[in-house]
Amino acid sequence: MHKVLSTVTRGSVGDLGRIAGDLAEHGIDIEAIGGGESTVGAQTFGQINLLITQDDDANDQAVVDRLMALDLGGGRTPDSVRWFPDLHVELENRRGALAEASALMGNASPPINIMSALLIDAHADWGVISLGFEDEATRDAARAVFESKGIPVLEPHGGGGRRRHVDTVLDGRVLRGDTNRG
Amino acid sequence: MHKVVKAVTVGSVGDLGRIARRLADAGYNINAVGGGEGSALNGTVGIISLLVTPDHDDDQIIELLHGMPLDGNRTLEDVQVHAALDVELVDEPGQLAKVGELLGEAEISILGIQSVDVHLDWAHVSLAFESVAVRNTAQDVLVAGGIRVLPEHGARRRRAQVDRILRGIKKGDEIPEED
Repeated sequence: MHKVLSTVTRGSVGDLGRIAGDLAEHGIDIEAIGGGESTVGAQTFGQINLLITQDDDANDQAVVDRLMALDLGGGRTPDSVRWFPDLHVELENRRGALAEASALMGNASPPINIMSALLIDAHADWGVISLGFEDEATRDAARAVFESKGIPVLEPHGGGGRRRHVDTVLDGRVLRGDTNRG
Repeated sequence: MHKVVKAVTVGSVGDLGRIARRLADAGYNINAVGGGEGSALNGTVGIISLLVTPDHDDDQIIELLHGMPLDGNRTLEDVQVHAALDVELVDEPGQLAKVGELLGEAEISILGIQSVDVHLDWAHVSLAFESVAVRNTAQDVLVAGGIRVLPEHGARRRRAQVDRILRGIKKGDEIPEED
């Protein structure tokens, strides 16, 4: 969980199942997902960004090569499959916190483009979000901006660590299938 | 959290900040965010899905974001509010694929997706659809396929349930090494 896998498809009923199915067949855990589908001009695009557990550098290219060749039906394959280096940023869990953090990137000199934004976890007074960037130099520049403004950047895989920490505290008290007592 | 706001940009350094600021200034909380930017149309297209509260007034949200000024005389390419479902999955490989396959086989398009909360043996994911009718069909398909669909706003209520247990974990806390 220190990089984001980004896929773009053109088409696309059923593409999520095909992409997630390929990852599952190869034993890859999806930790977080976000994206959507929309029509721009005359084209329908689907974009899916994923945090996966197995994101060690040794397998990066193999994942890209395999997904780029994935049969999506109708002679289609994904248009783009890329990795983006990411930061796990801890924000206050309040209105405007994401706007402030994002504006820091847009107002940086030069401006820093956020290539991916995925919620990892949000509870109590905090939210941890993954922000993906074009390359490692841009990620490092983003980290410097956040830290200069007092916004905590977690260590690599920090979002996963926080999630597991929460799991420890929950200690089995909130299990799948529980009735949600609001 | 029974609807998903989806915003699409073409261009786009700084657009996430502008969208989030616009929503915050109008009193909307962003409960979850998922999406990003990809290469398309010889440029980049950004698709961002948001769960917000309150989410009962579709027209107000669309009016707020549609036509909002971005830099370079741009506006958002598309803004939609989609009917959504929160599903509870087993936290193991293949569950998301099963959801995608069930809906794909039923020719139902997922227009927005984002993970909301993942802990212990469960994962909550929000799925957005073209209309209420499609969402209802999707619900039938998923339930028939053995996927648990939460009651309306179920993921938000589960999060609140977890929050009550987690009062001791505060922002900035160190994460223990053994975790």
